[in-house]
Amino acid sequence: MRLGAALAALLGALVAGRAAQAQTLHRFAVIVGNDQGGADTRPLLYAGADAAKVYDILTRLGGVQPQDAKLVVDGGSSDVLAALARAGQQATEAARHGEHTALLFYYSGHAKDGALRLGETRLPIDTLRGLVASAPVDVRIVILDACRSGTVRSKGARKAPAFAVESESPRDAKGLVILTSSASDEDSQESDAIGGSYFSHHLASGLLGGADRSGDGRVTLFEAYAYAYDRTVADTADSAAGPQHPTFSYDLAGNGDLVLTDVATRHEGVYIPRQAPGGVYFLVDRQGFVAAEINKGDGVDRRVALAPGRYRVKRRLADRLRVGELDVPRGELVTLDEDHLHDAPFSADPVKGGRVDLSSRWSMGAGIGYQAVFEAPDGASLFPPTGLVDVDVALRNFLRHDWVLGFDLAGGSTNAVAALPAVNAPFHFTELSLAASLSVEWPHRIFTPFVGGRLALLLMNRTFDGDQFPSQFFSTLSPGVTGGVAVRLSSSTSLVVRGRLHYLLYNIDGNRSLGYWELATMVAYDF
Amino acid sequence: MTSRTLASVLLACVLGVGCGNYSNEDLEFMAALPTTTQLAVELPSAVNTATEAELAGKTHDAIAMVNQAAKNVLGLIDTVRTYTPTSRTDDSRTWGPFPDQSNPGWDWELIVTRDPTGTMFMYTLQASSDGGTTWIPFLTGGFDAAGGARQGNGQVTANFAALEAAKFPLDAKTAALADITISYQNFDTPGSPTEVSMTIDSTGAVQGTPASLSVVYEILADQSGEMLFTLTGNLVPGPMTEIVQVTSQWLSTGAGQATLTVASGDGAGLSQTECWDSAFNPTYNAKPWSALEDVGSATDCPALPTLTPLTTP
Repeated sequence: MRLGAALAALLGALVAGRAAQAQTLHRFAVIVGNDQGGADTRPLLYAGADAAKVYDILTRLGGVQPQDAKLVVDGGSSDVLAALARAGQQATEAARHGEHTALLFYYSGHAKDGALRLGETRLPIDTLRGLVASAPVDVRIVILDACRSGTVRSKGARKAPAFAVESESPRDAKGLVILTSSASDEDSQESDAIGGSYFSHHLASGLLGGADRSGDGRVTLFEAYAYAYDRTVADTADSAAGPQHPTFSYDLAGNGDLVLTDVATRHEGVYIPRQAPGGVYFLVDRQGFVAAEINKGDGVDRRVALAPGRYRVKRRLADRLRVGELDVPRGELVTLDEDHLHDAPFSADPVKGGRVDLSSRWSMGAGIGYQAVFEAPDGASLFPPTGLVDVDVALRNFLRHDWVLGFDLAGGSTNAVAALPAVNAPFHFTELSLAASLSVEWPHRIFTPFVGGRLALLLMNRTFDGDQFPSQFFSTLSPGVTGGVAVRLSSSTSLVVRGRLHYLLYNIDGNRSLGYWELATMVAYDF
Repeated sequence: MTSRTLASVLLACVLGVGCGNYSNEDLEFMAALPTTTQLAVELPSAVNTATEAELAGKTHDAIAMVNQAAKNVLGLIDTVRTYTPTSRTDDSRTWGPFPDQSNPGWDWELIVTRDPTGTMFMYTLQASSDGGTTWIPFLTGGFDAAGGARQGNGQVTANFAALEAAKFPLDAKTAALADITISYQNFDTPGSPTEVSMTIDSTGAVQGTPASLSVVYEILADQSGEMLFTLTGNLVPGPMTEIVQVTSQWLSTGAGQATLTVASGDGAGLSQTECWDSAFNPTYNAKPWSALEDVGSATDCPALPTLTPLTTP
């Protein structure tokens, strides 16, 4: 009994100590992502998604309360400055209560000519560095995932000598840490296969538990960086753009390391046991994106703090794949046994990249819609509202990156009545439209909004009951605009919700400028 | 549609100019024109015509004649209406000119105009033998859509004499007609009767054939109705011109009563009254000039409602 009581007391002290650490470091975060870099830059595909992913990890596992975190996606420099100012105010207030504070700034996007490129706006790196350095916090962490971001390393900061810096006293850590995704003369690269930038992807995988080298259920700043460094260099070694070397510099007073995420306390996700074979485990979400890429060594275990959901698992061997699926219920840590996996050929690789492909490709969709002419002189007696069946074919990235050349065919019919002052004639209305469109889309991990122009050839016909009136037809070219959003369901299928506004010149009973709107939803398949 | 026309239409579409005949206005102009079926009347008919009451048969014959005349007159309009108007203005539609395939050298044209109120339509179907320089009005008519959608009063006159005078090749039977005038109202309001009157004038009528003939009938919603059939001419042996009238009234079951009266001329004052049942068999017949045909008594006649008396148009 005495031994048991002693152990219980020791465990209690440990838990209390950990809780005390978490309480003493009040964390604030400003997380920024922007795919657009303005003139002279090519739009990125995953910067916003990377930022969202980091935001999710920090607020779920990183001890950052949602009210203390600000996610700025596709915002301008003023948005970033406002978010930093707000974080500074919050930190000042926390410090007034005697709290130890930390500020984490993450950025994924373009950087060029000494400035972060936020759409058409610029945020000079010197300005950013000055703002962070002067922030009223004890610890400042800057993570920049941008081309040549290594240039941001502050003078006087020491380059990390090694990555095996042990965590000892987080409460004592003070100063500035800067992580960059690439060296000063390197490009940072994105990958369609993983659906993100290499650096942010591996950093996120590390924060989810892949970097927990010590196995204590906590991922420190140094562990996360070491993991991201190794995996980024390995993945980009053979890339066309050349290897990408993340950098790390720090200017911390004290000997402390910082715990960035706690993957043990939440007790939710996937547990890869010690006896599981070593290798790289890919955990793929429903949309086909790699949620985590865990490099597990032989004889060690890993906790991967994934959000609840269904995942496909892949481990690559020399001659085949080992694949399987598992569900992560809320609040449960699911053990990934080797029994969950089965052999599969390389052609069955689930990591096809639930991603946006840069190469030109065809897609095809089918769905249903509804069309109605705006208030016409004779109301529905002229062109009645009609349900439509749509078939679309689209060619992406052919004319230009993120431009979509589309062709669609739609048809529908309905019954209506020509209710006129001297006529009350039931008729059957049919419509066929053949159209070409040119759209610009902004692909993200899940949502892809798009807008564009469209030119439709409308063929309308109506036949009347009885033989009193001959059938009537009308055809015209109708210009319009289209817009909507595609929601990715899997790596190759999307649910598209779309609206259209069109101009319709009706010139039989005199010239009348009419318009019509359409709403449609369809399922699209990428070839 | 010729290939050139088709090419022009396609070119217009490609250039973004709307094309076609999709028009509500056209419907209004076309709806102002009466149709054969609109004026045709279907009455209950006898299964066994051999036993059919005499005046019931005359009533049927008169209605059949009206239907046929309406078909002959309005058939032309029915045909034209199956085509899209050739030209449009704000207040008119024109069909044609179309060449008359049966009568080479003649062209036809139909013009429908609408007055500014938007409810009164006038139309003329006319023929030309000189390429459109001179037009001979054949059908002239009008429709007042006072009652709303397809409800109102209309009148149409077919002027066969004008065609005959212009040497249009009419057959002998048609050439004997001077003109036919049809008036109608077709308020579809429940309880409101459909009323049609027709006058046919002939040229050069001989003994035993009418010089003019008029029919007016009124059909109620339940298909019961009444008819006044008036013949004018030297119809009875003798020197004078007679006016002979047949008034009929029937129920929706078919049972009815009719009275034939020689209103003037030779035999003036003679009158025959006949009643029949729903099988059209005579139940009562009082025929003073042929007493052998008398049957039953007046009490065997069906009870008929009192309708508004019809007058000769």
